[in-house]
Amino acid sequence: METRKSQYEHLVRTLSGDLYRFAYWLARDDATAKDVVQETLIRAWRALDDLRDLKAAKAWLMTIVRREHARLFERKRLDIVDVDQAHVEDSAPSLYDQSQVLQLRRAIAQLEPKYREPLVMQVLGGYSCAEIATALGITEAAVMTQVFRARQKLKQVLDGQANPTQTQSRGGSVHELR
Amino acid sequence: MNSVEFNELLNFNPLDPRLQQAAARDSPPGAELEVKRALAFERKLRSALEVEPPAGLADEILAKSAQLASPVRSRRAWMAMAASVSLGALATGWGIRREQASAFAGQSELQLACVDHLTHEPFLLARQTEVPDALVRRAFQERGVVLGDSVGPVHYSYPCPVGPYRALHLVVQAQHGPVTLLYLQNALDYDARGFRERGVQGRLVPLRQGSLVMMAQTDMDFDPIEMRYRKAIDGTV
Repeated sequence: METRKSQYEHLVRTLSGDLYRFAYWLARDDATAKDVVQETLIRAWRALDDLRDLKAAKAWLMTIVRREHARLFERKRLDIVDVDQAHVEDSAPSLYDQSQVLQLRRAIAQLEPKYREPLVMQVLGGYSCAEIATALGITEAAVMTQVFRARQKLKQVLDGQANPTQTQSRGGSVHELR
Repeated sequence: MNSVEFNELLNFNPLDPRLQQAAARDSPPGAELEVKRALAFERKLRSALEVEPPAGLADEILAKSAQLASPVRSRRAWMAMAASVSLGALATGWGIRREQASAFAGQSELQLACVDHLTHEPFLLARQTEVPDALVRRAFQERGVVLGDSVGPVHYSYPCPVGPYRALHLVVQAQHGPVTLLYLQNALDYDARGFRERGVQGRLVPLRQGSLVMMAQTDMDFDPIEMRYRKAIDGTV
């Protein structure tokens, strides 16, 4: 029992942050994300005995986060547009231009879910395009297109902010390279 | 790596380590600069995605899990009871058949259907995070009610059907434990009545455009909740 408890505590302390971020970008709402993560980890507590490989826990829990979010909130079709202001304004690493990071957060929040979700899974979850395709029930080619388009849209936002007269510096450069 | 493969990786998986190898060799030509730019963007993207979790989130979850694990907690007992009633309902298929019914024959059938509904998802009773007031108002609006005052803290809100009625399922963490509320739109033919069904204490409150059913382990929190909801929904106390 004690081992199980300490395993669970380790799981919660290690992964709750990542799960919260994932849930946050699915829901774009702090309270919803918190609820989804709590629900997910409480389910995990109940099902911990079934989890034989703790290394696989993150993928397992992210799947539960997606399902839980879909179950509770997507069916409601709530149109939560505004990103939580607290998160938009909280600290960004000083190495980077904070205004660009904030700009990017707003832009990510405004991405259509079909672009946002695979992008978040790839960047935060470390999933491959094939894994994302399986999780979302779409083709790998569709995932590749969506993550590409998501990045293009975000780069355009940054380009517009950073230097509107030289938009090719980031967004267009990939296509020029041969 | 040829330029087609390079571009494919750069577009679809900019963190692939093979890109860094290509950059180190600057092959295809221009790879070093392109990878540098791509990685700079990825760093910003990651920073943007890494929102800060609420302080104490892990502790809160651990505390809640410990609560659920404790067999002596009354909330746990209540949830277990709710779960067992749920299993009983599922075993007989009663709940599902009841929810598909086109109408209720009488008040006691409505009460049974509400108790069944409550027991479908007993873990909802553990919710602690408040649903934003704006979302609660919108949920009520979708059920034809424009709230006047706030109904107070709500910890779960979801539009559900209960038999023939469009309902709003709410959970409120009250002083003596969680209370489940079902607001049934257009349920107008029922009388104010307290009831007890399969270990669940309930109260039906007729309102102008529907009925409110409160269910919990005990009815000790029903009075203040009824007052708040009456005021918010009907504007009366």
